[in-house]
Amino acid sequence: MNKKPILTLLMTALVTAGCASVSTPPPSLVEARDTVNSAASNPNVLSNAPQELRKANESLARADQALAKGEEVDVNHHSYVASQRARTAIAAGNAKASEDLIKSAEVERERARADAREAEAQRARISVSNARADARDARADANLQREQTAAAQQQTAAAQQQATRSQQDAAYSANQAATANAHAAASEAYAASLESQLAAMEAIKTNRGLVITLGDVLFEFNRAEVKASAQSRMVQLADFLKQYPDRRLAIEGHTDNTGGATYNLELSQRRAEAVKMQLVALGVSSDRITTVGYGKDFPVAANDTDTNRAINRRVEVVISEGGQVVGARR
Amino acid sequence: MNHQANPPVARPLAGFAVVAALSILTLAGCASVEPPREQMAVARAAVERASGPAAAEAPAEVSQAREKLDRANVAMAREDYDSARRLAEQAEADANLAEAKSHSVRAERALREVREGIRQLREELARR
Repeated sequence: MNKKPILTLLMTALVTAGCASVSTPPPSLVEARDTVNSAASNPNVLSNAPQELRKANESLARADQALAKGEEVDVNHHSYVASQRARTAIAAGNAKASEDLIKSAEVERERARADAREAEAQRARISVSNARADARDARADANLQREQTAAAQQQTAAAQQQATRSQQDAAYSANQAATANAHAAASEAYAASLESQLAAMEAIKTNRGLVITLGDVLFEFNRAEVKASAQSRMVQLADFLKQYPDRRLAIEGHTDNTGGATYNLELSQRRAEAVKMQLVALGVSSDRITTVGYGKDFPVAANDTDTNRAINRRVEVVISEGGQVVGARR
Repeated sequence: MNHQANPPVARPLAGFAVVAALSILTLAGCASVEPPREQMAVARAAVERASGPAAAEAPAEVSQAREKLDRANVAMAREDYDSARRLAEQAEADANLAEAKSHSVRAERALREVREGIRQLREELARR
């Protein structure tokens, strides 16, 4: 029975040796302490992964307990787990920190996107306003074009009117020319007619005007009445004077030298008056006619023969050029 | 009088029983004799989690975790429950680290991408 306490002691010693304390910590525990320390001093871990850090510390405590008990296998095991948990805490803390940064970065990104959208909108507004300005310009151009077209059309119309007017003017000018020609022709005809009539009346151009001599044959001897046989010449003269109403005329009576001067003056005056009355009777205005008797003072031939004396017995009708009054003989 | 002779015999027997009980208690304090089924399940789940998308960012930790889980399974089969528990705990720690690392790497990458996006936006904004 004496062996039994010894056996008991031996068993107890063996069991105790299994849990024997190790005085110096193994490298795994040193590493675990370092790792847990660095995790504990990491602000990301403290704020973001306190649970992981707590678990790492629990493992580290178990490793220390195992060390105190000398359980080397457990020291290494718990040290390893503590190190891995500390690393996990660091990684989780960093992950959480990154996620927090992502959140704020996303806010920043949204702001940047908003800025970009605003810039885009601004560009769009600008391009819209540019487009509007372009449209305005285009409309203004179109209006200008229309105005120019209208102006051109007006100019064309004006030019056409001008052309028409020019044509009208030309036609008018042609008309005028024709009229002028007609006038010229008429004038020529007039002149020709005048010439022919004057020729028929044996008119002579002098510087006092046209002189028509009505011969002695018109009158009976010592009488002032125009012979009936001379009527046709008087009608011819009256027609001429009526055709040219602007011409004035002087009727001058002349005699031969037979008889006294006073008698001849009176006779020549009476004969001139007789011719005037005859012309007035034929429709010539008396206002146009002046009469004068010159007697025997202006013979046209020598009074030596009956023939010559007959030539001197005459009435001269002097017709003015234009509307002038016939001047007196000098 | 007979009952007086018995106690001297009973005393050494009782002393042995106390020592045996103490020894068993002490042994129980140093190592679990029960199979660590719960820890095995936890480790399996952790390794499975880490084997997903995390495998790419922390391949060393993931393969380490897998290897330890395999060894834990072997230990379980051997009924070496102490080793199995330790290996399962380490596999869990490795898998958790792999997952955290992967998470961290992905978060940093995402942060870089967001910042790059911001930089490009600002640059584009400044260019216009």
